[in-house]
Amino acid sequence: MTLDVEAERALVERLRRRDEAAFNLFVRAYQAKVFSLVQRMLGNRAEAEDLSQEVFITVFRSIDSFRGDARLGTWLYRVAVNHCKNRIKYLDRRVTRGHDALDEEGGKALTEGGPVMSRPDRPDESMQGAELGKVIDRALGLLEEEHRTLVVLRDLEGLSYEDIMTITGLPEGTVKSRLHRARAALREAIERGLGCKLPE
Amino acid sequence: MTLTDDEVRDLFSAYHDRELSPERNDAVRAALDANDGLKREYNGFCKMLDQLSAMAAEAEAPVAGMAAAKGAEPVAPDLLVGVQRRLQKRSGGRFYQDGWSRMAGIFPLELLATLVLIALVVAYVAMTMVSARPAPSPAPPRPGTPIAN
Repeated sequence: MTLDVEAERALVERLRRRDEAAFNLFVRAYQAKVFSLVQRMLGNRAEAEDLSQEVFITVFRSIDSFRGDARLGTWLYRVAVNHCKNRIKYLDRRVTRGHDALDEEGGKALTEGGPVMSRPDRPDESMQGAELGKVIDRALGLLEEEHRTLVVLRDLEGLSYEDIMTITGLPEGTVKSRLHRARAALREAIERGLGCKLPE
Repeated sequence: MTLTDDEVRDLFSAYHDRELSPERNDAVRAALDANDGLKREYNGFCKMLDQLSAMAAEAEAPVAGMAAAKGAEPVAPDLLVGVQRRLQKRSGGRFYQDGWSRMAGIFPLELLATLVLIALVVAYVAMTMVSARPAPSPAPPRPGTPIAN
């Protein structure tokens, strides 16, 4: 759902008045987008569900600080990305400390580009549709957090460079150069996992 | 302008997003036309980005209820119940009534806790002082008062 400027302003006013119906409408309108973004960033459905709820609670608690400089949806994305960064750091620390053996194995695989992606017997045949999607999904998990953020925002969420600048706080040139490096890293991760070049 | 293969690879992303100047754009196109291997690499790169777009379209699919009706695995869960439960729990059920979060900003809980602590200390000191005060001694008998046997 995309609201026009006037409808969005009215919704923000209702949110500020603690109108429960407006909160429900807001969650229903944006939950799929927020969950999708968070899941792509974290790569874990249960974590994504938990964190997406926290994103909405943060927005509700701080709606008074929303100044309207950016669109409501962009601001929501910014809150979501910041939550994701914090959660990724927390999860990384947990893996590093080795509290959870299973997580540690998964973390190692992610950082070393190890056994996360299984090599298909015939990579050329596997590179179709949903199969390629799965490979890309896993390769996304291999990217550094800042690269993953840019690929998710630009190529999965389809946001404009202007919105990405607002969300990340980075200047345009930096967004473009980092996005280029992020895409190159993603391509390398896919090809490394498959053991072949990406076919046409 | 002539570009090396590596320079062209570095420009794949900008070329795809049409972010290059006309001159550079022409140079990349010419390089791709002249080199089949490089062109295949570029097409693979485009396929990756197309697939990302397709994945994004999948993520646009409906949340739990509608997906279940289609017999598909839900793409996104319905978050509303969980969000409301957390809000109610953390605000003690007051979020929609008295502006819990705004009150928290004006009158922070840390200040409230400090005031309660000070009140408890004051009450304790007062009680200690009252219990430590010596009991009044009995008044001496007046002169001429007969002493009872």
